[in-house]
Amino acid sequence: MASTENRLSLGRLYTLIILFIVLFIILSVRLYNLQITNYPDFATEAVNNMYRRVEIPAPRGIMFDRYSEPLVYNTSHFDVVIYPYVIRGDSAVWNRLSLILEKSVPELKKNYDRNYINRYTATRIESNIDFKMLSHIQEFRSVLPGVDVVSRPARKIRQGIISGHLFGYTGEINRDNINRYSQQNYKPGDIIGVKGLEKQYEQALRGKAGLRYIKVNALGQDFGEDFSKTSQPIAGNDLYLTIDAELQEYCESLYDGLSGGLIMMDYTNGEILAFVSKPDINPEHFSGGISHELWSSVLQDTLKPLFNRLVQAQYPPGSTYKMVSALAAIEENIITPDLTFHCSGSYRLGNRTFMCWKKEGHGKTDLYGAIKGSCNVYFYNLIQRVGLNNWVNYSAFFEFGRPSGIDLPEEASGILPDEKYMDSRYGRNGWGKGNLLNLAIGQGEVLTTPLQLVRYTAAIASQGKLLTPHLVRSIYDRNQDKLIYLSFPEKKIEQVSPKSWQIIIEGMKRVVQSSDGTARSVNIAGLDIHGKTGTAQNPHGEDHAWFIGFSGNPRFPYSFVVLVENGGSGSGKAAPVAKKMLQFYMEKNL
Amino acid sequence: MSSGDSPFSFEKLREIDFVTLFLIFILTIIGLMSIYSASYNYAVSSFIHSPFVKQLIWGFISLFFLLLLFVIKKTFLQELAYYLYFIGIILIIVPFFQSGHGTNTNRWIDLGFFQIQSSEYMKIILIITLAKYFSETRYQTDQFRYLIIPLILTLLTTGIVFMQPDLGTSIVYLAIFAGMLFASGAKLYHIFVISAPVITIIAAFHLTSFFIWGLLMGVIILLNHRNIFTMVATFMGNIIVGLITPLVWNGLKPYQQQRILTMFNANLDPQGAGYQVLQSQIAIGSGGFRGKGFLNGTQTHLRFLPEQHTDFIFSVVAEELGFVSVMLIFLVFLMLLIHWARQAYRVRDTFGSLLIVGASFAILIHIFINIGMTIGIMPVTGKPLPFFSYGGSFLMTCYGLIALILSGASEQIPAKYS
Repeated sequence: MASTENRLSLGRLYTLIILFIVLFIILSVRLYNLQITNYPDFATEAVNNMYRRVEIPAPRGIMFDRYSEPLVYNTSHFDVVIYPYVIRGDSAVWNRLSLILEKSVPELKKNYDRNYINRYTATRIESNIDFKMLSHIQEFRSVLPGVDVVSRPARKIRQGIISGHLFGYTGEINRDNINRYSQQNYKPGDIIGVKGLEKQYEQALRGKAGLRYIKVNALGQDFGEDFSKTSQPIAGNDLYLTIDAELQEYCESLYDGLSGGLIMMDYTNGEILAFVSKPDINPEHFSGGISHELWSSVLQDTLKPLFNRLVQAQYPPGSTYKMVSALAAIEENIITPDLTFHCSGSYRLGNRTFMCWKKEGHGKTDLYGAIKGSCNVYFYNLIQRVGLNNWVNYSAFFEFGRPSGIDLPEEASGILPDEKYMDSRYGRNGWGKGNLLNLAIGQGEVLTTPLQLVRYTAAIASQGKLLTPHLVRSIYDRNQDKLIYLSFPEKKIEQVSPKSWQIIIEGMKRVVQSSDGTARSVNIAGLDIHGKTGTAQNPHGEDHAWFIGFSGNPRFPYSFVVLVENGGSGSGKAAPVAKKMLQFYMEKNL
Repeated sequence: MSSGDSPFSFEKLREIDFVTLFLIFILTIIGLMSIYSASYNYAVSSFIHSPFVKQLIWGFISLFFLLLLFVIKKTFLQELAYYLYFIGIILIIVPFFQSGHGTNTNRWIDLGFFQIQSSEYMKIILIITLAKYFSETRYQTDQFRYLIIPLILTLLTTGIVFMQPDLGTSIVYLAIFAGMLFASGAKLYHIFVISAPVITIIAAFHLTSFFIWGLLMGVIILLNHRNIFTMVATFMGNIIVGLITPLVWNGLKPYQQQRILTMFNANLDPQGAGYQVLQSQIAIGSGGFRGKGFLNGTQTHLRFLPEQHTDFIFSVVAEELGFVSVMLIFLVFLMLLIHWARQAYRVRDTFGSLLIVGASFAILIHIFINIGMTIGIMPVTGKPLPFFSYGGSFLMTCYGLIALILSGASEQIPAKYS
């Protein structure tokens, strides 16, 4: 057969060889890049591939009361999670889940979208399933690939107590608000304290989640757990509260059907023993996701159950504030307590008439009498001698207009209207003596939180100790295995002499212990109760009733504030609540 | 024309190239080990039915096939070339009339007890056919018209296989043609004219590139002064190809479009082809310098690798044996290719030389496309890796190609037999 001579030239041979070499160099460079340069990244990815990491949630720290009785602790909820990369679009699995969980597929997918992180991370589609659902899922495991049930600690509150505003509640971080928490290493689906102590002490309570490493193949099938890699969760730190659980429970019961709140505080150290704000929501309802229906009813409730009345609400302090001007007048030597004014039931200033609450008048009355009888006219006279600046200065000694620093989030600061404030509100000449008269009796522009009032009461009781009210005494640090006592700053009001304090205290004593005091009903033998009633004018309805006070018994060193919203007068509604509280605690502790 | 009494020459066995044979065995053994590892966790009824054993059996069949093809006299191959081509064309058309595999591909001929992929064997036939044509005395390298017949022979097979649809194999046919055209001494300008449409098609997806390519093409055409008619025809032909390319593109199967698109960005489709390439790269990258050790590849044994005993077998090798072993394998491949190229230069007859070059290019393009795919620089066209990937038809084809190379390099001492 005829065949030509070889036509492959030497030049073309070299070209071919160079082509081969170049192609292999291209492959080698890329391989070098993958296997040498980027080896660490790919090695990590391969490890990530082969393990399904299952988080073991850390139990949140427990809240104990002052006698180490558990107040807030953990229980288990069962959640259904799915692994997105296994499920992908498998509609059969979704339909089975829908049947078992008794929820429509779109509803489940909505939850899925909200909690989705990435393809390899368990994504919660349902929280807190009941035992029947749990057993169904276990039973049908084989046809539910990529579906898992995980238990998660949820919050449980001591029986008989709700105290939603005190404890606050926990909630899930979702994809919408994750950005707020991303710096602290949170991810969607994590539980975080949203309100109250749960929020305030989040970092202590949180703990550190553990991880289980389950070997899986690409199909999501388990190949057993790699126990050598397991990291155990570290429980959150426990809080030891200053609250007395029994007192708290009893005080809550006093507000059955009422709104308002009370605080009972140790005036030697600022520890709060009872802290009730009503209405509120049981934190357990939020644990593991509040139902949609409940949430919308909460939001529509005109009583605003999410509003902490003790630290977030600001009210006119009413007559409970009269001690401020009294103290200023005495300490500044403007009057002596013996000075009398005449009360005819009303007071004329220019062409305006200012009323005393007692229409027939108190007659001729001195300072003690004015406090005891809560005479407005006396204070109308007094404040004109004291003047706004003195009144503001003495108010500032008690830090009105500033947050107290309690260990709760979102504390309001109240309003202490000084000249600047009045000028900016009414213009330089837009306000005058009329406003001042109102301020003297705690109405008008001055606003306080109940918390500020109990702090003020404690300062009077302790003759000048300005404490930081607080709810947590110590934190059990699990790492160091020791109790860490928290310290809260306290100040001394140096500007007021003991003599002045004693005069005020004597006035408050007569309110309760005189036969004609406005709160004589609260007089409990052995407790040496001092007090002051008040009425906060409420333009939206019935006035709010105040009662503040303290016990002079050194073995019962407690001050208190009681607020009953729309309760009318302090002596009528607030004082009886205080009396029951004090009696209860006396019987328990004395 | 002179044909011997027998189509076979067992004398050829004496001059068989043991270097090639030895290196091929080495590669096949590494390949078998990789298949063993890749299918280690597969659920099979017994060891006999495991891919490893099947491939081992295919290895022996392939070796027999190699020897059979090798002992056929080159002259006999030359005589049969065009008949083989005709049979080959029929065999790659047959699958179109054998639908019902549950897929929309027409690659396999179902023989009942087993299936063959005829387009694989067509590679061997195409090489023989082209070698026959280019080695004929009437083929004048300076005349373009002599390139029209081999072009048609190639494009016919390429077109049919492309319709099957099998993009990868059609690229292999084109590569075989390109290599053999170059080795046959065709003028560079002619090679340019033939390859220009391919570049035109690629450039047509980008307006600026298309414009620059058009200019460059014009300059090259003008420099090789021909008559005005040829020049205009060449230029305009390319421009028209460029203009209809977008229309053809829209006619492609979405999976083909997708495969080409994911070439540029493996993450375009993390569930499909992109996911495969990503997992493959994780496997290879995590192998590092020394590899994770035989049977220790986590990507492999937890089955994150797709098609790990067939198309992505290289990822198993790279994951378990590491960069250093891969470089050694590359070295073996490269040594073989250079060895063959030098043989192609040294042999006396063009037919033998072109058999070697054609088969070398077929093997080279498989290596480059397959490995390029696993490391993410080539599209996922589903081409296996010679001597490594699982698959009977393909292993046989590779051994057939080696037979062509061995055959091409043999019968070089006519003095002894004349």
